[in-house]
Amino acid sequence: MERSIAISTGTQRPASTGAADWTGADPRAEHGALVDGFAQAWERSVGRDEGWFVFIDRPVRLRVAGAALAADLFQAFSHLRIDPPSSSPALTVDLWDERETGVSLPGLGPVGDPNDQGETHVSEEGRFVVVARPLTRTVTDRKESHLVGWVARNDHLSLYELGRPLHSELLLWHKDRGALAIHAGMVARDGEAILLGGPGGAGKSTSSLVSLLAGFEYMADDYVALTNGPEGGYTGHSLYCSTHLEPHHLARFPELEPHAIPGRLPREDKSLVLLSQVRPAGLSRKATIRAVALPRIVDAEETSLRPASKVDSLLRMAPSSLLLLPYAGLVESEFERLGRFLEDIPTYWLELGRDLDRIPQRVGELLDRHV
Amino acid sequence: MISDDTRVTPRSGEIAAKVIDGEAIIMNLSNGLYYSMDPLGAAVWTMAQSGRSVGGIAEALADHFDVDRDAALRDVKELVTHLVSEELVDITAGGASPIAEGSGSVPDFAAELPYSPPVLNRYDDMADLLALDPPMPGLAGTGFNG
Repeated sequence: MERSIAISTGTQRPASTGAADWTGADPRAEHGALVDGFAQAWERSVGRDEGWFVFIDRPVRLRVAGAALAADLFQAFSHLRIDPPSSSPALTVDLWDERETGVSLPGLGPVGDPNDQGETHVSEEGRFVVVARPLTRTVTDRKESHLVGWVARNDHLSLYELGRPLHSELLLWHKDRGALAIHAGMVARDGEAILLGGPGGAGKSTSSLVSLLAGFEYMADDYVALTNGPEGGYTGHSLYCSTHLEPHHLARFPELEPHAIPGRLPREDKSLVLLSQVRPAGLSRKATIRAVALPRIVDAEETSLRPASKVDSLLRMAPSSLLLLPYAGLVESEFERLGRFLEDIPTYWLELGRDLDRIPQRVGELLDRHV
Repeated sequence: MISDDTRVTPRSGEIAAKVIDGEAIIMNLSNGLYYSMDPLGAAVWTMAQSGRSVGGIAEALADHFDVDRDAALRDVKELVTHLVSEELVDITAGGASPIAEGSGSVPDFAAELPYSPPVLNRYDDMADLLALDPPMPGLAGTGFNG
């Protein structure tokens, strides 16, 4: 089913009334109602948890009412967890699970088929963004950097929602803070990274995972947040420690198989693996990017490197990075930024032959050349 | 109908374009199609953005390269027709326009190359994915910058 999107004109009701119609017509009112709901759930719930994490060098506070929901959410970000800092959070995320806490709101319940993409509603001035999925509903107050949300029942969430919680909401928060989300994997050695860019099926996950298992630091196999680093360089930041693999792909990684969570919903043909359960010491939060490698599968025995033109690099990376971002209309500046990044950084084809075990060697060669 | 006086500009808000290493890459944010153009195509695109008319671009190409004006005009009109039909540009002026001709000349990245008719390459592999999972509405248009 297509996901509907709409900009709401909504009336300017007070921020917290405890009531909302859940149609997306008034995102501000929905935010107020969810704030009330979370406050009740947090107050009542015995099983609740609070954690601090670092996203793009900023502290983020995550409060979850519902022990099972908390455990699941914290796992996806576990490699980013920090001790509570003395500074205020750059983002506060408040979520509760209705089934675990018993806290419900009038009219708020599961909507549509579990396979539905959901809906997005934006208040007229752009401040409040509602993301409504079949079993979850969140509202982000972009001005106050506050994301509040309801989950119907954690045990029915999709693998995608478990492995990449709050994906569109967090990508928007990253954008609001000047980070560029790129569809890429990233691995590093001693804090110096190779970005693995390209569309789905190119070999990013394979290249990232083979490198992790060979001892490289792992930050991503799918999404990297790019910021300008010190002295004119670029830093890549991790967001999730999850990977989603099809059965034939998973079979290449015997070490991951025991940790694979199979799909729950009819269309879920991939399994989820939380890498924090496999190689927690191999996960990193960020690294300085030294080169871009563009994996592509070739009919050859050996895996090899060759220089890639800037045009080929942008053609290879821009469509999946930018066209699938959840916030169209802001993409033009991102395209310019991605282009400048690729102009500044050495770019190579990583041609994947049948000897995938040579991938880490090629990654190491790139680091030897450019560090 | 594309005439010598026709001018075009990229469709605002829907098209993102960049010339990199002398080639143009264009993305249509509304439907997921994306395009590339060789250096001669990128040169036409660049001159069009500087305000040159179709006829003015053809003249600049004929002045610089080993191609006669009629052939250059035919090639530019064909490319611009494709750009219009693919909804990458809007026609902003044509016929007896009072707008002064832009002054852009053949960009350096194309200046040393032999002439060949400019080509627009089209890629549609992302279009289906975009239809399945369309993005949030244009938050930039709401005046809030986070």
